[in-house]
Amino acid sequence: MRLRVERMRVDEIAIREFLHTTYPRLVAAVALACGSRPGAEDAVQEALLRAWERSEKGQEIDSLEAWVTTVALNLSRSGLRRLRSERRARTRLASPRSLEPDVERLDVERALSTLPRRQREVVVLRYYLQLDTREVASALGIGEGTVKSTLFRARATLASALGMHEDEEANDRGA
Amino acid sequence: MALDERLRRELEESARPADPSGIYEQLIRRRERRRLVRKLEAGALVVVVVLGSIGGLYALTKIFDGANEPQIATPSGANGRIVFSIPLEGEGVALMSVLPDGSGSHRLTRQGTAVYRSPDISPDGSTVVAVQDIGGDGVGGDVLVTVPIDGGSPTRLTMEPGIVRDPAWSPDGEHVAFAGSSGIDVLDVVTGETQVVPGTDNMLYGDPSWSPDGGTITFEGAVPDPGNPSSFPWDIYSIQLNGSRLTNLTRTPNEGETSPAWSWASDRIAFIRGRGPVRQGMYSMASDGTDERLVFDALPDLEHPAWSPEGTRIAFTAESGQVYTVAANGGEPDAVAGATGQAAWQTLIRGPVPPGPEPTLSPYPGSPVGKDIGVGFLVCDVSSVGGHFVSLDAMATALVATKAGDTSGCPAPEQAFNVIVLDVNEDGLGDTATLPIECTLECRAFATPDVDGDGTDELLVIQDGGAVVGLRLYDVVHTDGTISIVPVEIADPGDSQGGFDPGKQASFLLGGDAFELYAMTCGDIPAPVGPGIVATQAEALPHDAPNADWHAHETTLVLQEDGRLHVVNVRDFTEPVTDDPSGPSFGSGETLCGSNLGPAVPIP
Repeated sequence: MRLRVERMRVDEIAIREFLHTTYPRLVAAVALACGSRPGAEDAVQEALLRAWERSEKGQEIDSLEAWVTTVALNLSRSGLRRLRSERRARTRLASPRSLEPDVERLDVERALSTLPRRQREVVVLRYYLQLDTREVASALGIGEGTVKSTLFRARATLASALGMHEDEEANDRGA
Repeated sequence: MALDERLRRELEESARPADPSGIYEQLIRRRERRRLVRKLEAGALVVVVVLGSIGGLYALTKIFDGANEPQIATPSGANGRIVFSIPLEGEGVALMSVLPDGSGSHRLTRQGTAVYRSPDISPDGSTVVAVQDIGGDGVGGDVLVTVPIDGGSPTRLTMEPGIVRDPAWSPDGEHVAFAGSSGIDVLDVVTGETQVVPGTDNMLYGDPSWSPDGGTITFEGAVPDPGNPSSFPWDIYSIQLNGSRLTNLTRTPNEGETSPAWSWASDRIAFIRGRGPVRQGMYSMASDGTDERLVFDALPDLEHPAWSPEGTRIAFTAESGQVYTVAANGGEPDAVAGATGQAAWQTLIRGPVPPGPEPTLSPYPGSPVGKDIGVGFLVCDVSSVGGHFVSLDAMATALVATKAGDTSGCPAPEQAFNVIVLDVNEDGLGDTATLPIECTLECRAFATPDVDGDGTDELLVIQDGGAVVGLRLYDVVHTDGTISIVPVEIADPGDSQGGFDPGKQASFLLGGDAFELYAMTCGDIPAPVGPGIVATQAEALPHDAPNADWHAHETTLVLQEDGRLHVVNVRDFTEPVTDDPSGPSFGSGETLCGSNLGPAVPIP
């Protein structure tokens, strides 16, 4: 996903296009970052709704994807919001979607869960949403240098957790 | 398999994209519920609104009463300072000013995390209006504030946080136009009353700018393209304050025009054409939309044109925020050294000499002025320390310097830019640098302790001078061939009593007197996170008593792999104050984790 920068009006067409193209992966990304699927769905939907309302008031948004990503990640950091959305999700346990077979977590996901929150966010935005460091910095509201240092630390931890040899990791860094 | 490739592949496999079906309907329901709640809340305010509207109608009449009668044009003035909003390392976004030649930089807003944007300067050149972000979540938590041109505390023009963008002073200095929640708003700075310019509330809008006579506003606006209702082409519009004579000045359905700026001296409007991947250009046109001329198009990301008061030059932003000025009829632009962000140009009403703040002489006489260390501007008060910042087998030099001011001397660090620069290949020129850092009284490279015991050094910089100096810790990070100097933050939960608040940059105090001591020693935690730093603050109580005890608070911190300092031990203890010349047990030594604590080497 690239964070397109173009001034736009958020209307029904834009919302439907966003839901079709961006929403599925963004929810997955926020879920990886915050560790809660219901929390991620709630945060992305709330962010999208805020963007819509903002546009209705005449506020333009340079990039709907970038704006919703930033606000959704901010919202997902709220423990109270996550708790509420998970509580609501319990009522949906009987739905077919909730009864999907629980896919066994892969090593990377397990390793990811051990990282501090900021590192998880940076890794997910960089490697799952495939944003460059400048876009990650913009989405998280931090400096590009901070992104790089955070990524550096996260990679070192992940390499260790995944049992990758140092030379592999070093080669990777140099690549 | 390389780590990057594995992360991409396995994250792709483990992530579960969401099913978007039915979500649009959920959003509609959620929106309707919210509207209902707001209506209920608004009902309680009806009485207040009705009463307020009576006053509002009076104010509207007052504002718009002479809209069709052009007022006396604002007296033109000489070109003064350029004010700009600049993001600072580890802080928010500050307002600073600088002379057009890049000298005499001065900070207007106080040190801290406050965020200021979109400055504009009053017609008399005395006051800056800006947007202050006090919400923090990017959803309308802004207020309008004013700040004196020489710096000082902000004063709010609007009390309630809301949607506030692009403020612009009127030529009489009595009103500020801005893009509000429902149109272009005009604020009476005396009464505080705000009124929407009729006709701007049913379109997209932004960036208002006043005509010289104060009767008309130009702004960027967009309405649906009749041939393609989902398309909103941006154009430059003008409208009288009473809402009459709404005119599309550019009329280009296939191109976008934004950021109009009306020159009160030349009566021309500058604007930006194109956005994003489409090639951009800065143009000017007569106030009726005719006589369009290209001013400049040789740099990417053109934004925010701002006329010089004399109408001869235009300041603008390009290339990741650098501020430039260019002649109004085109030519080579001049970069304003050290200025980034949106700019505004001050009018000097009297005399040719800028009345800006006098740069304060450095407290360190003899400091060189105007040294080039490869950061794009001349610096002074340069100090350096050498260390193994990047690798175990290569030395590099960290330099801390203040941006040189006028020829009168090196400015005090709190009134100028200060930067940390890393010279990796030892050629005397920086290879990477930080954003401007904050310093008070002193700004100096200090020590290079190896806090985490990995063989490479971290960097301590003195950023507050005095009997007790304030130090900040930085790490040098080498990622994907890029070297960065990054501030080291305190991890959660920190130790607030010891002055280590989570999320803030690690800040240490060092020094003191007979009654109060701040010390730093190297810890004994094993590598790779140790040895760590032990910071102690102590007070001798009772003061001036023969049986006084040191009451000490000790914090031990280690630098973990997440790049942050973690508090691993906290303890309070007391010990008697003695006459032992070596001082108390917790005093600082001559070295800290392998680094001398002597003065940094000044660069001749």
